[in-house]
Parts: sequence; structure tokens; C-alpha cells
Amino acid sequence: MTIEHLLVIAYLAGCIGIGVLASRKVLVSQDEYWVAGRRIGTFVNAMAIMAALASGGSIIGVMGLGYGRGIPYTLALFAGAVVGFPLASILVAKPLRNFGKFTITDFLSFRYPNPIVRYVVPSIIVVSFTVYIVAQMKAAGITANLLLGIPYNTAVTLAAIVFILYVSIGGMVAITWTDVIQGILMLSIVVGTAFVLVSRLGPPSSIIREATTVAPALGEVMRQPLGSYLGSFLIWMTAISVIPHIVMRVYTSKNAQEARFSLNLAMIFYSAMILCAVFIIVPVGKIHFPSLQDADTIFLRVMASEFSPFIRGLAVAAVIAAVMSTTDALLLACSSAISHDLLGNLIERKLSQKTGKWITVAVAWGVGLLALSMAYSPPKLITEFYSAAIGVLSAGLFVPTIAGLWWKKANVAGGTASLLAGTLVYAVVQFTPGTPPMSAILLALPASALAMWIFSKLGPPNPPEVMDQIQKLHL
Amino acid sequence: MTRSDFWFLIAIIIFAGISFLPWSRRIIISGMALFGWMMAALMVISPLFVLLRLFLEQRKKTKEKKI
Repeated sequence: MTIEHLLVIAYLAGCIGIGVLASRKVLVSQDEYWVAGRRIGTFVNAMAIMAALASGGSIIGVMGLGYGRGIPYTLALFAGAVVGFPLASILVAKPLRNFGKFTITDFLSFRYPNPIVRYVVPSIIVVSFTVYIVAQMKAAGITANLLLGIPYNTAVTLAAIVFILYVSIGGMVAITWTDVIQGILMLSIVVGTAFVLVSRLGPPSSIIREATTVAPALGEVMRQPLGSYLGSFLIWMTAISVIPHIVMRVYTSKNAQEARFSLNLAMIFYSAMILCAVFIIVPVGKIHFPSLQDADTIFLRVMASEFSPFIRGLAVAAVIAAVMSTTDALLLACSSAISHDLLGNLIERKLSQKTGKWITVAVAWGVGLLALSMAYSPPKLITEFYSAAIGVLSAGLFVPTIAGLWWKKANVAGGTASLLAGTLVYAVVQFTPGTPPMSAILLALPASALAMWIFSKLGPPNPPEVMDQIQKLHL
Repeated sequence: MTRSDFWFLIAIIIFAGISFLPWSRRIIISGMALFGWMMAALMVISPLFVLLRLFLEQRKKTKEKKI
């Protein structure tokens, strides 16, 4: 057993230990399990938000995307996510934190009380996040395969079991504690790697110049249709306001002001990590490995060729951390979508709280195992794969959420029509042959907004008590 | 929504809009299209700007409480 194996085993054992410790607290109440008792401080929450967003996609995938599709395309996608945070902090953080429930479905089904909304929203979340989890599992699998020598399928299976185990027992408290450790670990590894490479090879501008001399396409824009650039930017810019595992983090804050601080502080950490990866590690990878078959392996190749076994062990732990910190949040969001949003009434009325908790655990296992079975045949570029899945959330939920908070005339008919129009248009365009990657959102968002406007005009006005409550959310 | 929040959103949209115009794709700086540099700038400027505003807002509130 090598030093890399020992580091990873110690790290995973630590995460499970935290899950077990946290489980003693979270079985007490739903508030503890889903939103960690709403008392997470600004820095801790910021690091947890960063870790939740910085998935395997952000370490493995961002570099794979940069390597395969060029740096500008990658930056368009990730700049969308970064801009999405200030946007979310202005548009949704305060009112949703003041709303004080658990999930985005809670808000939408309160604002648009219609069974379609109650059932379609969690269904979209589960489908989208299951795809997202598959991408994370691929990242864990190829990392363990390339740096530890474990066969891909075995690595994916082991990783999946550990993730599901500690999410299902620990809830949001376990996730927050481990996310902070994972956030610090992945930030240190990526920024540290970039720093070492710069000290060896010179400033980033000369590394980029050398890499673009070897491969000019790395710095060019027109490798993809313009719709793909704009689409990937828009998907992530709008997704952050509605993406359930980030919205749940807003609910964990002590108050609305701290929620806003956390969101923006998280983005400073996140931007530092992405820019180090894209401006330094990707160009170095392109210089050393100009024609890789699987672009997603670029970070691992650089680590294997440039660093000692101890650093490689830390890198494996960092990637597993990135995968884990997102997968756990996604699994928790999927669990909440099914056991809280879909089965919530049944659990509250007919089952004890403890039985409800066990249903949640079973759901986490169900979703995790489904994603695992899909991860045995992995996608090519993971970031593009899961971003397309996130697009359906943006298409379906962004307009109803923002209009629900900020437009008084948005009513049940408008909200329901907007949700369905955005989702259906996105699905149809996405699967139409010849559509440029990521561009379906360019039609889906306007369709959703148009449906909101037309049907809100046609439908009956909102009851005054609902509007009073919405008004209070902004105070 | 406060007026400064509103103008911040407008500024972000305008900056992003300008970044996607054709000229930013043609200009190459240090081997990379200006579009890429503008996206990178957006990633740094937007959260920093909001954080700065939040700090100033909080300082103002604290001063008002003291008075």
C-alpha cells in the first residue's frame, strides 16, 4: 500500500466519522437534518458553498473542458456561475432566507399552489441531479484509476458507497463540517499546484503564450458556435438562484445578511480556484500532453508527471473531496426533493418523524445506486454533460422563482405555465439533432418568460394573504 | 431592491453583453481572445464589488446604531 492509498483511506474514514458524530445531532429534528439548525456562520457557510459548487467538475472537469474546448469557452461557463452568485444574493438570498422553509419546491408550491408545481419541480430536480451525480462519480473513478491504480468500476463503486453512507446518516450538519475541510483541501491543492508550476515555469502570461503557440485553438473563441458560449454562460448564471443544493445553503445561514455575505465570499474562493486551473494548469498540461484521448484526465496527468507521491496523494484526496462535497449536497437535495417535497404530506400526516428519516435514508441510497449504475458507462466531457442537465433546472425554475418574488402579477396560472413551457422547450430543443451544445436555454428562458406573462394576464389574481406574505419576505 | 443593486445588475448585464460582441473574439492578447480575459475579469470583479458594497452597508448600519 502506497502513501497515496493511506492518505485517501484516512481522509474517507475521517468523513464517515464526521457523519456518525453528526447523526447523533440530526436525528433530533427536521430543521437539524435539512438546514443544520439555521445557525451556520458566514465563513463556514462560504467555504461550504464553494465546496458544494466546486465539484469534480470544477477540478477534473474545468481542466478537461479547457483542454478539449479551449479556455474562453470554459471561462464563459464558469463566469456564468460566478456572476450567478451576486445575482442570487440580490434577487433571492434575502426573501428565500426570510421565507424560512427547506427547499425551492416549498417556495414555488407556496407561491403557485397547484399539484403540477408540487410534483413537477422535485421530479425535475431528481432527474437533473442524478445526471450531475453520474458526472461526479466519473471524476472519482478516473482519479482513483489513474493515480491509485484501482480499476475504474471498483473505484466508482467504493466512492459511491462512502458518499451515500455518510450523507444518509449525517444530513446537513455532516455535509457542512466535511465541506469546510473539503473546500480548504481542494482550494489549497489547485492554487498550490498552480503556484509551484508558476515558480518553475514562469508567469501565467508566458505559460499561456507558449501553450497557445503549441495549440492556438486553446485561446480562440470560434471553436464552438456563439450560441454555445452564450448558452453555457446563461445556464449557470440563472441556475445559481434556483439550484437546490445552493438554495439550501441560503436557508442554513443565521440571517439574510449573512446569506448574502456567504454567497459572495464563496465566489472569491471559487474564482481563485478556477482561474488558477484554467490559466496555469491547463496550459502546462497542453504543453506536456498535447493530444490526450480523455481530456478530463489532464489534471491527473500533470500531477502524476510533476509531483511527488505525497502531493499526488493529497491531489487524489482533493479530487475525491471535490466530488464528495458536491455529491453529498446533491444527494441531500435529491432526498429532500423526494422525501420532503413529494412524500412530505404523507410522512407528516401518517408516519413518525423517525420513519420519515429512514425513508430519507432509503431515498439517498436509491438515487445514489441509480447514479452508480449509470456511471459505469461514463460521459465524455463531464462538465458539459452535467451543465446540460443543470440547464433544465434553469429553464424550468428561474422565471417562476424570480417572478414569484418580484412580480406581483405572477399568479398560479402563470407560474405553472412558465414552469412547463421552460422545461418542455428545453427538453425538445436539447434533443433536437443539430442543436449546438448548451444553446437550448436561449429558447427555453424566453419561452418560460412569455408563458409567465401571457398566463398571468389570463388567470385569476393572487389572494391578498399570499401577496402580504410575499411583501413581508422583502422586509 | 435597492437602487445600487439595480444598477449593479444593469452594469453586469452590459459588461457581459459587450464581452459577447464579435470584436472581443477577434482581438488576441497573450495568445488568448479578449473575450476570455473579459470573462476572467467578470469572475473577479462581480463578487468583489458586491462584497465591498455589503461591507459598506454594514458599516453604515453599525454607525447608525451607535448614534
